[in-house]
Amino acid sequence: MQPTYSVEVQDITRRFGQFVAVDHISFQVEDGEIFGFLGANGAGKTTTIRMLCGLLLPTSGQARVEGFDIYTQTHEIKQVIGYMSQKFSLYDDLTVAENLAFYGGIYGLGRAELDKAVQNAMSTIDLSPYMNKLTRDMPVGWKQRLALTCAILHKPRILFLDEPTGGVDPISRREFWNLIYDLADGGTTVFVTTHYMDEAEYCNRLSIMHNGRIIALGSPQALKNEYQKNTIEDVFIHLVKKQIE
Amino acid sequence: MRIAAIIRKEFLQVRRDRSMMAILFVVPIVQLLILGYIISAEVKNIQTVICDLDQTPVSRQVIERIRNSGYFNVRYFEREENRLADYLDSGRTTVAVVLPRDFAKHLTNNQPVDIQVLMDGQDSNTSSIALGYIAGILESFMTDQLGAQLAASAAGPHVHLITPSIRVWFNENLRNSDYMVPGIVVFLLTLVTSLVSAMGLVREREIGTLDQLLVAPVKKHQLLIGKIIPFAVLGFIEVSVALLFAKLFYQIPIVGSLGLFFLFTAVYLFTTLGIGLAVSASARTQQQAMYLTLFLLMFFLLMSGFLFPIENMPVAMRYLSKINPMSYLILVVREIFIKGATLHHLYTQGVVLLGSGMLIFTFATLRFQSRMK
Amino acid sequence: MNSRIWTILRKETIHIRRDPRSLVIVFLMPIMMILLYGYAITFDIKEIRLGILDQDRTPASHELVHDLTSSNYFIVSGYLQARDEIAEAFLKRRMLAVLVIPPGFSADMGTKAVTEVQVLVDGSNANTATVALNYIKSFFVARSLQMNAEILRSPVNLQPRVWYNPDLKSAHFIVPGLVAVIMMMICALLTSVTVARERESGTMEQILVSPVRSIEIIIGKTLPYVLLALVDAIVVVVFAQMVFGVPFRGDPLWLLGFSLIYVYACLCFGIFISARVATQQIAMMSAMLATMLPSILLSGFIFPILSMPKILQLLSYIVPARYYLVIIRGIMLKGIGPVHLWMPALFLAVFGTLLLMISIRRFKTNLEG
Repeated sequence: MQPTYSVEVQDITRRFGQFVAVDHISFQVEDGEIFGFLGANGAGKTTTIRMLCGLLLPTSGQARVEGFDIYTQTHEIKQVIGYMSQKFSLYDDLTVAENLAFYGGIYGLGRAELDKAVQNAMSTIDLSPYMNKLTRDMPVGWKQRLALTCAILHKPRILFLDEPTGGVDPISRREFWNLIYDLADGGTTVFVTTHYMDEAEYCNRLSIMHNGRIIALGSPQALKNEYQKNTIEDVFIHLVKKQIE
Repeated sequence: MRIAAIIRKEFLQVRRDRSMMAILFVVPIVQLLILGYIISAEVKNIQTVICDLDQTPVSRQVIERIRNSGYFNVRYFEREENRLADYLDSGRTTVAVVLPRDFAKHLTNNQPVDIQVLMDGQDSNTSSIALGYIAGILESFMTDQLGAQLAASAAGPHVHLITPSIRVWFNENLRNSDYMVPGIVVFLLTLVTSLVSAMGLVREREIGTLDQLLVAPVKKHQLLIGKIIPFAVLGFIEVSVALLFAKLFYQIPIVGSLGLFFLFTAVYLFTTLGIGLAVSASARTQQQAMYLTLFLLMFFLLMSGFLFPIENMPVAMRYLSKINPMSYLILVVREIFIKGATLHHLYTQGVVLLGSGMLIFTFATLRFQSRMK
Repeated sequence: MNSRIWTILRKETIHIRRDPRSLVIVFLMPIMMILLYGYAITFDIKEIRLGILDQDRTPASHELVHDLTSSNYFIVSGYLQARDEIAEAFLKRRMLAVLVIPPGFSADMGTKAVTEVQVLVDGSNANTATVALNYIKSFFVARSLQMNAEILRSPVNLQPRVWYNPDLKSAHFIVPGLVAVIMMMICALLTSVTVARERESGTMEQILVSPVRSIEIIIGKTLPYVLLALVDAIVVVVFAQMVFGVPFRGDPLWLLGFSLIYVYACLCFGIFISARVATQQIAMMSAMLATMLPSILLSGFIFPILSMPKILQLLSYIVPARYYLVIIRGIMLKGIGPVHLWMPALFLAVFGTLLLMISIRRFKTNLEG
C-alpha cells in the first residue's frame, strides 16, 4: 500500500538577508510516524518547523502539510497542527485551568468539548493537583507537560515539537517521550526537533541537519548500519566532521 | 575592563535598535520643531459675532476697530439679539458684541452708552485676555473721541497726558520661542534620560539577562556604572542635537556660556538618571516602570515653569516646585541663553542641583543594591 | 460573540486582575494628577514686580508711584538709585520691569500736553513681558482719561457678561481638560504593550500557530480595556467634580456615552502602536511621546487652537483629545448635548475604528517582519 504523507517538502530554501538558514531540503513524513530532526543549534531546525507551521514563508520550494499548501493555505494548516516550543509559551500569571481554557478557546473548542479534551488529557497527564495554581509556581517538568497538553487539546493531526525537552531533567524527559509514544499510537504524526542524541534514538525516522542542509535521513537503525557506528551520537559526529572537511 | 564590556553592550543594543534610535532622536526633535511655535500667551483669531442694533456710521466705526485690531475674527453679523446664545452654545463663536440702539445718538449727546459683550468663559484665560482687548479698543476709541473734542473746544492747554515710552531688554522683539525652546530642550532631556534608564534595568530583569549579569564576576557598582554611563552620554548627545536644531530652526540666542550650560546639564543628569534607577529598582514590570516615570514627568512638567508660570500658582504649589530639580535647570538655561547670566547669578541653582543629584543618585544606588540581593 | 475573541478577552481580563499594582497606578495616577494640575494651574492675575527709579523725587512722582501700587496690578519690589543698577536687577530676577521717572517730570506735567516716563521690561519671558506691557499701557491710558474726566463726559461702558464660567475660575476650565489629557495617555499606554509583552515572553508564537485571525487578536485585546478605561474615566470625573466643584450642567448619560467613544479611540491608538512594535520598551516610549505633549499642547487644553499657526491647527485635527475636550467641556460647563456635539463624537468613533482596522491589517499572523 502506498504510504500517505503528513508532510511533503520539496526543495525548500529560506534566507534571512545573506544568511541561508535552510538550503534546498526535501523530505516526507509519513502519517502516524515520529519523525526527528537532529542537528546542532543554528542548523536550521527551528526555521524549518516555523515554515511548516505557517509562521515563516519559504524563499523558494514547495511544501504541503496534511495536504495544504504552506504558501496559500496557512489558515487551514493551523487548524490541524499542534505546536510546542522549548519556551513552553504559557501564561505565568494564569492558573493551569485558565491556560487550558485559553488554548482550547483559541482553537474554537466549546465548554463541553474543552472539558472532554482536558479529561482525555488527564488520563495520561494528571494535572489535577495544580489546576488552580498559578503556572509560575509549577516545577519545570510540569510546565512542560502542561504545554504539551495545551498543544493537543484540539486533537491535531500532526504535532510539531521544537526542542520540547530543553532544560528538563532526564526523568521528566523520559516520561515526556512516553507521552509522545502514546500520541503516536493514537495516530498523531509527531515532528520533533532535538539536539539530544538519546532522544534521536526514539524516533521512527531521523534526519540529520547541518548548516541548513539534510546530510542523512533514515531510521536510527538504518543510519547506524550505513555508517557502521554503535550510536546515533557517533553517526552524527562522523557526519558533521565529514562535512567540515 | 568589565565596566567597559557593559558599556559596550548597552551602546550596541541601542545602536542596533532602529526604532529606539528613532524614539530617542527623531521624535523629540520633531516635537521640538513643532512645539516651539505653539506656546504663546498671545490670543488671536477669536471667533466673534457682532449684533449691531444701531447701524450707523459711528457703530460701524467701532466694528471696524474690532476687526482691524488683529485679535478678532468677526465671522458673523446677527440682527436678532436673542439668537446670540446659539452662537456660543454651538461653539461657533466665543465672543458676541452687542452695539445698542441709539449708540451714535447717545454718544453725540454726551450720554453714557453700554456695550454688551457676551463671553464664553470656559477658558478663563482667553476670556480675560479677550475682554482686555475689547476694553483696550474702546479706550482708544474714547481717547480719539477725546482728541476730536479737544480739537473742537478751546480747552487744549488744560489737557495732560502721560505716555510711557517702553523699552524691552534681552528679548527686544518679545519672541516667545526664545523663551520656550530652551525649556523644551530641557524637558526632552529629562524625558529621554529618565525613561531610558528606568526601562533599561527592568527590561533586563523581565527578559532574564539580569540574572546572567549578576552571576558574572561583576561588582554591583561596576554594573551600575556600566549601565549608567551610556545613558549619560546619550543625554549629552540628545541635548547637543536638540540644541543644534533649536539654533538652526528657531535662531534662539545663546548670549551666555555654552560651557556653563553643559556643566549644569552634567550635574542635572545625576538627578534624572538617579530617578530612572530608583524607578527601575522599585518596579516589577516595564509597564509599572513606565507609569511611575510618566507620573514623575507629569509632575516635573507642571511644576517646572516650563509651560505654566510658577509665580501664578498658589503658595503650596510654589513650594512644591522648589523640590522639582527640573525647574532649576529650566531657569538656568533661560537665564544663560537669553540674558547671559554667569555662575555668579546662578550660584543657588547650582548648589540645589548638585545637592538633589547627589541625594537622588545615592538613594537610587542603595535601592538598587538592596533589590539585587 | 465569536468564541475566539471571547477567549482572548477573558484571558486579558485575568492579566489585568492579576496585576493589582498596575491597576492601583492606573486609578491613583489620574487622581493625583488632577489634584496637582487642578490646583496649580491658574490664570489669575498676579501683581507685576516693578522696580522704581525716581529721578524726579517730587510729590507728583510720589503720587504716580502710589497710584501704580494701589491699582493691585503692580507691586514695588525695589527702589533703584541709578540706571546702571537695572541690568543687575534683571539678571538677579528681582523685578520684571522698571519705571524710570525722569528729572523734570513734575515740571513737564504742569506745562506740556504730553509727559513721558520710561518703562524698561525684562523681555526674556515674552509671555509675562507682554502681559506686563499691556498692564502698564492700560494703566497710563486709564490715568490719562481720568485726568481729563471733566472734558470727556460721554463714557462708553463695557458690560461684559461671562457665560458658562462666570467667575472665570481656571479650575473649571482646566480640570475637564485634564480628564481628556490623562485618559489619552493612560489608554494609549494600556494597550500599547499588550501585543509586545506576548512577543517578548514568547506566548505570541503559540497564538500565531493557532487558527486565530488578526481581527480576533486585536479586538480581543482591546475590548477588556474599554471597560477598565471607562470606569477610570468615571472615577476621575466624579473626583474632579467633588474636589473642584466643576459644574455639571449637561446630561451625565451623554457624557458617559461620549466618554466610551473617546476611550475606545484612545485604546485603538495604543493597539495601533502595539500591532507592529517588537518590544514593550519601544511600545511604551512611542505611546508616551505620541500622546503626552501633543495632548497637552495641541488639543486646546490650555493653548487655544485658533491662536496657533495654520499648519499646527491642521495638525491638531489628528489629536483625539481635541474632540473630547469640546465634548466634556460642552456637557459639563455649557450643558449642551448631542445636537451640538455629534460631530466630534462621530470623528472620534471614525478615528478609533480606522486605527483599529489599520492595526488588524498591519498585524501579521506569522513571524515575517
